[in-house]
Formats: sequence, structure tokens, C-alpha cells
Amino acid sequence: MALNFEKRSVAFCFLDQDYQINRFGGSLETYGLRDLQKGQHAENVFPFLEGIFIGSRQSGLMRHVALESSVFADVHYIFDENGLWIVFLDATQEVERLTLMQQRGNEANLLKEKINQLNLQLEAANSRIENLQAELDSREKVDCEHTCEGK
Amino acid sequence: MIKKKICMLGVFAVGKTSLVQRFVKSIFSDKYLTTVGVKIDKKTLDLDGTTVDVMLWDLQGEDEFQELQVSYLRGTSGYFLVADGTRAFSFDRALLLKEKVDKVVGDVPFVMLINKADLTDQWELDEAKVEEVLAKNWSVMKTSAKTGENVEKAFHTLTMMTLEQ
Repeated sequence: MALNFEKRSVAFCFLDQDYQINRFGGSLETYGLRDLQKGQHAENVFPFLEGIFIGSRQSGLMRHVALESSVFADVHYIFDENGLWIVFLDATQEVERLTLMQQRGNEANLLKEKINQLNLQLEAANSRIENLQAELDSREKVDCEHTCEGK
Repeated sequence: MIKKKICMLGVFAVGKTSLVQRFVKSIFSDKYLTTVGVKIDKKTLDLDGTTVDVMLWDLQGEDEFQELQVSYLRGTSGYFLVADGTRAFSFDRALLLKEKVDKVVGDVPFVMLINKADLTDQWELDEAKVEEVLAKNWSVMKTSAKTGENVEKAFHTLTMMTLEQ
């Protein structure tokens, strides 16, 4: 577990009741956060927190957030009586792995959808051909009846 | 400075990322690249003299394994419901998604985008279904991230709607 945390470049930032930066630490540089300063308003620093400050003070997790430094982070936001803790965990490797899987899965699904579409078109075309054939057979039958009557 | 958070919602491969890229960077790529998680872009708009910072949250598309993470929606000012005109299924799923989103964010402005308007020869969408949502007074636009058709207009329209809310 400890090793896992190390690999995931833990970083944190504590915001006061006015959502100004109060404390910070950990591997912030991993997330492209180099010039944090005490007293800065979080909204101007963390675009991904947009909306968190509105409404309920319910803690939560935003998974796989792409940050400007091309790193993906799991961003935990935890409210307590003094403010808000923002905890970053590196999720880049996980996102890379998931992206590969997701890409293949989605491409396969798109292909499946395309095949289904083509099958439906084929069925519709077959049905039209069958109808035409039936019409043709019926006309031939009528024609034959006329010809036979003539004889 | 007014800030508005706008989310891009829809099933996978409908063109959410392409719409954002077209709007923010005026670029388009035919190559499909899936989005995992969320990517946030920003564009500053001047709407009738009002400057608005639009934060665009491009969310991972839904599929059979991956459901929308509702934590991304928190505090959203509005959202796009994106469907792909060449895949009728994506339109039906967008309608289901809308029901889910309503429960989380309540009554916030949204615009439905039927994307890939440049591929009308492959259009699969039942116009009667589009009429049905229009009858509900939904704002619906046909867009093409490839040609840029209606893209700028769509983002401006939704941002205006969030300002009027």
C-alpha cells in the first residue's frame, strides 16, 4: 500500500472557508502546480474545481481528470469544518491502460453497429426482392392463365 | 469575470471531443480517439459585450461498461446532449441520459446536438423522433465538427441560455 501511494505521487492542498489556499504539499509539480501561493483563490488555480464550491458541502471524487501537464489525476475533495482538502493521486498509468482497452472496445462496438446496420439493409433488400419475385410470379401466373384460356 | 461550466454528454464516438476541438482550437481530425475521464478546456466569449469564460468539460462517452460519473456534473451551468445522426442508437441513448442528468443537476439549460451533419447520406435518424423532442421545446441543432457547421452557434446559444438562467 505504501509503495502504491509513492507511485501515485500524492499531493494535497488545503483551502480555507473562502476557498483560498491555506496549505499545500506533496508532489504538486507532478500535476503542473508549481507556483501555488498562500492566499490565492482556488478557482483561479484549479479549473477542475469549477462547480465544487457551489451548493452542498458534500465530499467526493473526480476520477481521471486531465491536467495541463498531460497528467491524469484522481482528485479527491474532502470538506471538513475548517475548509476543503484537495488530494491528488496520479492516475496517468491507469488512464493509459484504460484508454487502450476503451479504444479497442469502442472500435469493436462501432464495427458491430455497422454490421448490424448492413444486415438490416440486406434484410430490407431481400424482402424487396422477395416481394418483387412474388409479384412477378403472380403476373406470370395470370399471363399463363390468359394464354391457356386463349388456346 | 463570469464563468460558466458546460458539460459535453453523449454515448461514445458521437463527436463530443471533436466539437470542443473545433470550437476551441478550430481543428478537426477524422481519427477516432476515445476519451477516458474528463478533459477541461476554456474559451473566452464576448456575448453582446459580456465577457464569459466558458469551461468545457469533455466527459468520457457512455458505453455498456462505462456509465456517466455524476461527480463531474456538479455545479454545471449547462450541458450539450450529443448524438450522432448516423447512429440512431446514440439518439435514443441521449434521451435516456437526459433523464439521468435531470435527476442530478435539475433544471439547467441544455442543447441537443445531432452531430455529423456532413454525413447526411449515411443519416440513420428517424426525423419523427427529432420532431418529438422539438415538440417538447428542446433546443436541437444539427452540427458538423468536420465542417464547423453550427458549432460556433451552438456554443454561443448554450452560453447565452446559461446567462439568462
